[in-house]
Amino acid sequence: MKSKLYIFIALFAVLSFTSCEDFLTDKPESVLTSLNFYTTPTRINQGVIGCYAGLAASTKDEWMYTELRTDNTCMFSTGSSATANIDQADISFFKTSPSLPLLQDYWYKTFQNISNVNAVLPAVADNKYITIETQRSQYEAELLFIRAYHYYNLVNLFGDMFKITSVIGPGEAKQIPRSPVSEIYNEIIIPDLIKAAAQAPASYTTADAGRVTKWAAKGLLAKVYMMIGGSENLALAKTLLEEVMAAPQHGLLTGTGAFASIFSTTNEMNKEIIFAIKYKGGSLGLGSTFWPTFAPLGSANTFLKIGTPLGYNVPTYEIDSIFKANGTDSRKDASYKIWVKSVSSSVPYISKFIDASMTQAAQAENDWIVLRYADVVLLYAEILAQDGNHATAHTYVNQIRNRAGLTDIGPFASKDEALDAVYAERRMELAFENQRWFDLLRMSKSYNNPNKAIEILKKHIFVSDWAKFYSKYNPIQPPEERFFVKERLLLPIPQTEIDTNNEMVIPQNDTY
Amino acid sequence: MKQTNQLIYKFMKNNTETRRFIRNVSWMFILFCMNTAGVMAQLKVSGTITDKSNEPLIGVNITVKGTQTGTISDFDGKYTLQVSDSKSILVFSYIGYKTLERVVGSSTQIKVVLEEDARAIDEVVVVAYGTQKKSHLTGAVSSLKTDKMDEIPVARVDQALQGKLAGVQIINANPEAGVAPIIRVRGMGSISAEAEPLIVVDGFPVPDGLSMVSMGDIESIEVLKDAASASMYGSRAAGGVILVTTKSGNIKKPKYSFKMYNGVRTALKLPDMLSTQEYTDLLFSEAAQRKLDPAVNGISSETMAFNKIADTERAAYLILKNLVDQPTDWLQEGLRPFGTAQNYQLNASGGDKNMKYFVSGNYTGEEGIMKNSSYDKYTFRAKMDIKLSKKLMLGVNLNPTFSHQERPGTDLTDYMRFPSWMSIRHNAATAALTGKVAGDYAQPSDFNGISISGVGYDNEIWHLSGVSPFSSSNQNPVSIRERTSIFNDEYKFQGNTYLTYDIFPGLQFKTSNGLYLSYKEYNKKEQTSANKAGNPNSLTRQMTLRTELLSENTLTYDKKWGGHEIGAIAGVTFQKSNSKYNAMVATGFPDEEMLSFNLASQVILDSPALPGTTSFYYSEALMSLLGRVNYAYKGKYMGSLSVRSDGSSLFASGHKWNTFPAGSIGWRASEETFMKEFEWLSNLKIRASYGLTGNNKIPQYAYLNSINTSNYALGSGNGSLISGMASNSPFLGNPLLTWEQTAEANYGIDFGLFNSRINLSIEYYNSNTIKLLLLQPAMLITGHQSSWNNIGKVNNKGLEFELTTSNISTKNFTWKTTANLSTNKNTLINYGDKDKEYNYGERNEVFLAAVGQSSIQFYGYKADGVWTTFEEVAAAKAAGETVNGVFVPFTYSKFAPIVGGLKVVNSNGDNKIDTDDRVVLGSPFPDFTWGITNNFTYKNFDLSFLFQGAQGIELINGNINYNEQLRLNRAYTNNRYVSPMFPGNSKTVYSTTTAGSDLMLTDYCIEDGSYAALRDFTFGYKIPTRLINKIKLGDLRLYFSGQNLIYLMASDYRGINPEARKTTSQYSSPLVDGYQRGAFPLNRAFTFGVDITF
Repeated sequence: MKSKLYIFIALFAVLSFTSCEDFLTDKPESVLTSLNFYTTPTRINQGVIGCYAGLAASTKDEWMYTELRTDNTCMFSTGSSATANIDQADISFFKTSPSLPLLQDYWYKTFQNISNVNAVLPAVADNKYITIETQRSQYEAELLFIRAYHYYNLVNLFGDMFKITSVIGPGEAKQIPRSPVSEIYNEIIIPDLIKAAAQAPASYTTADAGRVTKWAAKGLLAKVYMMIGGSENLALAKTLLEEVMAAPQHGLLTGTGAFASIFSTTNEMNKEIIFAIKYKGGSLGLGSTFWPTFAPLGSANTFLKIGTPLGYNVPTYEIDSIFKANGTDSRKDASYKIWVKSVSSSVPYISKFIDASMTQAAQAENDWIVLRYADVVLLYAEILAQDGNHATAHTYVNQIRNRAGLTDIGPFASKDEALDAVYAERRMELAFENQRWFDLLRMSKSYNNPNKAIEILKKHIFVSDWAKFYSKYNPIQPPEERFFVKERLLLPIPQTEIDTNNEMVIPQNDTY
Repeated sequence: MKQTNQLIYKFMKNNTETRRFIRNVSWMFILFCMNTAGVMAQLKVSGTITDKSNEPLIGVNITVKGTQTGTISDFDGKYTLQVSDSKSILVFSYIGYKTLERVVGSSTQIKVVLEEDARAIDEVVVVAYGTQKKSHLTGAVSSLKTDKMDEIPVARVDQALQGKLAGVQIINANPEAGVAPIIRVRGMGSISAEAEPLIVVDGFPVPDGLSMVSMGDIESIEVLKDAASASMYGSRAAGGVILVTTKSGNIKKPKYSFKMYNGVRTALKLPDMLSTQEYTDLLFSEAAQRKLDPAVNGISSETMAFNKIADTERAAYLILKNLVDQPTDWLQEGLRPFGTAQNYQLNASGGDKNMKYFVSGNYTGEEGIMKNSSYDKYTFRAKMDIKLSKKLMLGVNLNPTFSHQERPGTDLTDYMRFPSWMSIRHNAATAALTGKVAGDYAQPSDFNGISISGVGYDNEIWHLSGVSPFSSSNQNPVSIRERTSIFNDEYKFQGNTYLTYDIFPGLQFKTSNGLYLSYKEYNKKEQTSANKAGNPNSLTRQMTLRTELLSENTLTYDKKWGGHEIGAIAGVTFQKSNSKYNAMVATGFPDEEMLSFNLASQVILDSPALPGTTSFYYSEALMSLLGRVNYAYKGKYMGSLSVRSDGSSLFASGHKWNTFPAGSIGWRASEETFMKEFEWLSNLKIRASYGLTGNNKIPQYAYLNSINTSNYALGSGNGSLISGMASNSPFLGNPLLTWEQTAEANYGIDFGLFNSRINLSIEYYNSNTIKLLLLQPAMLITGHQSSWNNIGKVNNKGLEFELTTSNISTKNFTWKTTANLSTNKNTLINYGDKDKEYNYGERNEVFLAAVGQSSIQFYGYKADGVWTTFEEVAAAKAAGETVNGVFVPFTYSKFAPIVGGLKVVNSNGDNKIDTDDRVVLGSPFPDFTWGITNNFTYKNFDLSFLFQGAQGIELINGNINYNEQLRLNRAYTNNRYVSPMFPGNSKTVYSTTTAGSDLMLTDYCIEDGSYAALRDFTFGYKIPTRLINKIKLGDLRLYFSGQNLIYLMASDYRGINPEARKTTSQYSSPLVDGYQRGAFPLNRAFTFGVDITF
């Protein structure tokens, strides 16, 4: 009996004084920590997949900055007092507030994914964990492409950018200034994409389809060079585009209904798609929100099988009139339609991303196309227009026009005529695909007029669309001319970034 | 019960082996027990002990003065004792009675009558890890003996505490059946971490203790308010500690008690809604008024755009007049005629000198006043204290409970916003209009874009086409309710055992070990199209299993010598909790009634866009070392020192531990000889204390960066799910995180006047919470939104008054009053590197946290009535100023001037209305809260009532924003602006939709939330003993009880329940508080009860 008591006392003492640290240390069971996670090929692959998912998350609202701010779309919720409608109208009027939550969210999602890329990248940078070299270099190419893509969007939307190439802590973040756009291009975007183009495979097995190919990397790199501009860069871009056009995997879809079928949810990853961000409908939580976001407000279940249509990102009267003027353009109905709500009210809506068979609210099937073959063809025509070959540009423009059921044009008599035709065609062909913003930015360079983009946007608001369209807004205030200056082509840096950094002054973009 | 009792007793007596074991253990400590040896008994004394009414007193302590010899009285109040000689002095002591001394002398039979001790200050209060004489208390402890509290018809203990304790604010944010109120002890100390008090039931911290314990089981409730009292629970005590002590058995013959009540509850106040007919009447009478007004009549269509009767309103009228048989009173569709409340409890208690027991069973049932709202709870308790030997005591305390709650599928607000022209189901006429099937539920969307013609209000023919008379994507609330069912089931068990061993007199070892287990299951079944048209049927089940193991091991030492009294405790405790959360969501059931997972065709995976099947496991450990010394000298000077060291698994290595010391002193001036001449002053005590408490209530693993699933679809065509991982948590790990600490000073003074007929306690406290566990924004470029930090400081200071008076005390009539009043002032001293922060509610209304001011203030634009004339509006628009030679018109951004719209004050006097014009508009914190209870007894009648209230509290009334409701709720349409000639009260805007301003950003929606209520009322009658003696009952009492019989609200309050608060989504943040929308109505209850003991 006595011995039992001693044992008890001894046990008690052991419990009390020697195992404190063990007792107080929990091993998270359902939560994994980023420290030392990416150490096996399976886990590294999961990390890469996680970055693709990050693309899906950040792309959700990208249209607000790359379509809504252009002459392609606007908001059409007259009388709505919903905050989202007012905020988005502000974006379309170039009145974006630095503290806009939507803007902050887009920024956050983008940097979240950059951070995720940076977390996985060290594990594939050398062959520490993956012994098969092709696999290692493929993962590295994919990650670099994703990071370059994010940075390409960031510099074109926000200008000078924070250069983040590793996982950082709260203190470190406050030491990082905004680096000039050129530095981001030269140190991140271009080297990342060159490496990605060299290392990514030309194609994948059926199961892996959707990953970054060398064609995707080359295509994006060509766009990057064209955005920077200058004859040297255009020459580099030209070669890259020629390589992509020669790729056996890709080409234009042809035949009846070809254009509409590019976007069909039953024809995903078709020949024309060079890179798309993939979403999957149903109950997996991988669905996209484009269709429920664009389906007309108040249409209830007329178009959406389930969920609430928001009616955002509505085609403008201007693009409607251009399409109509084009005559029998087969792209018109595939791009947007008009819903006759009542005798007195018709609502246009984007029809490129329709999912008629949604089974869960806000979970649509539609992928988001980042780069497709027609884009590449028109980019090529754009270079020809600029590098003295404008007389041959029309053949590429006509490839696209013919598919749309339109007659040939050209040859063009001058650079400007060729550019006008190419950009007009791009606007029709790539309407509502988040390309218009970048086209407008390139136009300023192509036409050698830094105010080109802002002149177009100003005309769209104040001449083409205001009286017919925006004036119906209530209680939204009218747009103001003073905001349509070229400085506002950049969005403001989210105010929270400026406020949170108490160690360094983060300069805001001009006029904000 | 008695049989069990005897069985155990027999077992203990006869089981020699047990006894031998115990003796062996005892032997270990015999060396310490020097005093017990060598006393030779020579004289045998016996007798009986009774009270004044000749009732035998059981369990009275009888000791021989100056020795360790002693015994206790038995069932019949009899005792027998051996003393050494006739000069020995017997000391008779019994809790609640005056201690008596008798010299043995020549008689061997000593009969004693003990006198009740009227001086309440000698009562014992429960404190952390023990009890203490109230007279020796040096901290701030509010104590409540819960006599008759079980007659208040509420299902939860915390709800019954409202207004009864100074410094404890209980907010019944949602009076729905079984919903937990918000409890704040001495204001709000923490900001990001939880600020709820720690609930300790019989020494065992229980996360939801106040919902588990049956009211009838409670002996007393103590609130440890100051840091010195609470710091023995150091780690988690910063939000205050509430100690619940349950009843124990007495050394008495078995006693049975049965109590029940049954009653009804109704809504105290409901919103006064306009029917479609009434609303049309209003519109046309307003139109008629406008016709009389030359300022409006005949003016261009632009000005007439306002105050126009819209097509939607005309369509609603035509449908009502021509198609609908009977307007629908939606509000009544959501409510029962009355709710019910019932409670049955039976307990048995008793014991002898070796064993005491208390066993109880309780059923509480509530049917809410809303349909599909109910709460049933079954509680059981078995408590036993067994004396194994002279030195060993064993106790068990088991408390299983089960509760079942049903919640309505939709809020009452949803009923309020539906117009009366809409019927629940389509009739032939509406079916024909909408192309739907007669008999199906009618939904707002069915009426989208309809065309209708008919004779209008003004006898003209109205032709309307493409009208949507009620634009809402929601389903009608009856269809939601009938196709949705929500159930919460909770199975809980708390059990602990303790063993004490008296090592030698005064020194005791105690080990107390327990288990808390709770399993909660939330089930939500939705049939097809229940909430939104086209939604598939679905079943959601959320299961939370929580276990907690606690082991507390203490040594206590008590010693008295000379005038000195010392009490010391040292101990070590371990606590480990595990939580497992699993959620399953599935859809695609073939049958609408049979929603069971085995029939599902599709399981929903979790994603940010769509919550689905998921699980989360975590565990948490806490280890503590504690010690305390209490000292008193001659009952005059007293002090206490304590320390507790806590280690928590929530922090990273090296930051787990913190020490929480505390000290307090007291001086009972009234015990000084020079004070004795003031006979009217029976008690005067001055107290001061200072201590440190902690808070670690933050999410698990805040010190780590976590990795979560982040799946993606790959593959040709539509692809298939490929599993991915990414660090997508919004939190950036902070490995330096450690305890939040609150340092609090408390000063108290207690007065007892006229033989303690009047007792008054005043407390002043000043507490500073430092190293706040603050969730701060991180630079988004890190890929995360926020990280937890230890930064910032909050101050709370306040005054508390507690008054107890015995106004009249005669044989037949007594009247006692207890009253309390408390104030608290909250100040944010440091908020990291920010001097202010704006937090936003659901309508972007702003809650300001500014350094140097209160942690929460309503912030926005000040309004100055409505714009009443066109001239005024034109002048306002034209006003402006010349900036750099250019005329800049006065700009209004979101507050464009419009007649009938809200006039926003340009506070800073520049030429625009912008965010710089915002000012502080109010505060959700009360100036003071109070409660007064009066108890009367007259012969066999008893009467008690509690008035309770909060003063100087403001709230944001979110109903104003609810457009649909705004138009139809009389509180918002009365006296509104119509035209310049008929401006109403010049304060009420015409309507939010046409006024063009966001009212939620102004003080238009801020109202006074003060109230005073006759919270509880009980009137009882005890059947005279002589009548019931015949049927062998001990006591029989009948009573009537009421709740909220009187309820006063502030005159500018336009809602139905000033106590209601929204506490979900944005409002779960402690810095976003004081908002209500769609408040659940206050309940008024009437119950009858019976109370029997035998």
